[in-house]
Amino acid sequence: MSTGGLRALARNVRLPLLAAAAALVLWEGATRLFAIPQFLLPAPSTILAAIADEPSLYVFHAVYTLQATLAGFVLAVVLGVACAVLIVQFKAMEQTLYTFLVSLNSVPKVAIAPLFIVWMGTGLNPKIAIAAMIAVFAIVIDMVHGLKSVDAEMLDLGRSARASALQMIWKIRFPHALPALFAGMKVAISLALIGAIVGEFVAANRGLGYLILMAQGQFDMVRMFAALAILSCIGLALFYGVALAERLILPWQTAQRKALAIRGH
Amino acid sequence: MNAVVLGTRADALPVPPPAAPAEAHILVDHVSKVYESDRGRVEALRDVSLKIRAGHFISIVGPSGCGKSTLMRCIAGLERPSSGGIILRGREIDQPPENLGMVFQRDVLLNWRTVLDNVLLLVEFRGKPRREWIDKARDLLKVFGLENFHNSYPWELSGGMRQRAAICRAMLDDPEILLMDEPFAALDAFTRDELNLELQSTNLRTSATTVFITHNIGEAIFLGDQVVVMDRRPGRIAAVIDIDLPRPRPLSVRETPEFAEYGRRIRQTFEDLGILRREP
Repeated sequence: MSTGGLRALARNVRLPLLAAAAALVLWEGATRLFAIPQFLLPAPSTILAAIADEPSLYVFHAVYTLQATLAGFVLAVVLGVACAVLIVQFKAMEQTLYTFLVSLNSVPKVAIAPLFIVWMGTGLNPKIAIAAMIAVFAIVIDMVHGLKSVDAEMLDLGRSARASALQMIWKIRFPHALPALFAGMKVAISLALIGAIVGEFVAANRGLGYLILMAQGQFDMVRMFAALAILSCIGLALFYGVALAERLILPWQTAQRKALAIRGH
Repeated sequence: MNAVVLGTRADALPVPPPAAPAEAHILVDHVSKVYESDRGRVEALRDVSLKIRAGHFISIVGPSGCGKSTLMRCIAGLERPSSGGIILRGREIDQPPENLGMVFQRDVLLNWRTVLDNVLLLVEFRGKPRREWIDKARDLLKVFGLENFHNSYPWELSGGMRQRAAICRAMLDDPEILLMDEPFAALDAFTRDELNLELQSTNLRTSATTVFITHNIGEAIFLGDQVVVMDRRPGRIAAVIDIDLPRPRPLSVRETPEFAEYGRRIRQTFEDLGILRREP
């Protein structure tokens, strides 16, 4: 990234960081001023101290949750893109597979989660599966939209040169759908994290979800908040990771957005 | 007259002899096209016949909705006529011809490819080795003044430059047939003039049979060996006018009395059809 890019980045993060810092200060002040007991709402400083006290404990559990999230996310992207291509390419698939996915999505997935534990045990696999199941729908919806929104003239151009079905997909439809895929991935990464935690809530002996449940059982509010704080940091990092990948992989997308913003002002 | 409205049906025609230079390259034979939809029946083309000679430049001019794009899509093999047929070198077109170049009103460049890679796209589709075409692509981009933009992306270019790149893409592997559907309609008048000149000079060097659709009468005359005037709804051919102006034509040809006379005849045809209002 150029220094100009870094400066722009610094400008973009300054305000959110200031806002977060202000919120933390308010929170800290309130717990002290009103002497809120720790078993109701611990102060940020107490939470930070707890994390600093046992870093390896939190890393141990966070790594597990992160594994399930990332593996579930990757699985969702691979399966979601494959399904979307089939749905766009074959009318019969739109009528069967798409309908099936829509009905699957209308079932509360938290309610299906215990099934996966029965099928796959209490290890990492059911968490990955649940994360993927929750995330896949966002990918399919956006990818189908992206693949279908190719200009008719662009397809005519391909047909006029007798492009094969595979070339049409690979050289026109797929790259055209990448911005839509990234939009879906931004939603899906957060959903995958939710899926991983849901899996850990149902049955686990490791992970941040497990840690929250255990801490709740022991009324250890500080540990609960510490796990939550780490969880939200992971969520933020994952989201911005996808956003950064989008910037690097789709420079034209960013350029067009910028051009639109300039015209808008 | 180079183009005649044919009086015979395709099935009654004798087997065409081997193509001599003066023979029809593309024969549009009693083509009709009807679209059926839930909202009803739209007759886009009715009994259109046209003979296009090899290497000729045909301008088709007509109001919106006269079916000129439909006609072009039929010639491109992207659509089948409801009745009649289009015969290319004695064979009916039922899929896009092998050596076809197309330019649309919108440039439809791929945003994720550089200008050079966009120009090479159709060669890739046709399974030709990219390496062998890179030099040709560079030369062509130079002809169109894009030599410094090989590695630029389409979104970094102006509208005129983008359309130039789209023309390079269509012309890269020396198409036998070049079909252009209002390619300059979205450009400003200056860029349009420049591109008209560039198109004319490249067309003189290659021998592509070109069908150029426009709703600009002046552009149709300036570029065409013939101007086909179309009537709207259903699309029919109202007149075919030969343009006998020497080439290369400078932009100033538009101020000559001959040019004005062609313009008057075409406008007259549109007035007779009720498409243009008669001036008092």
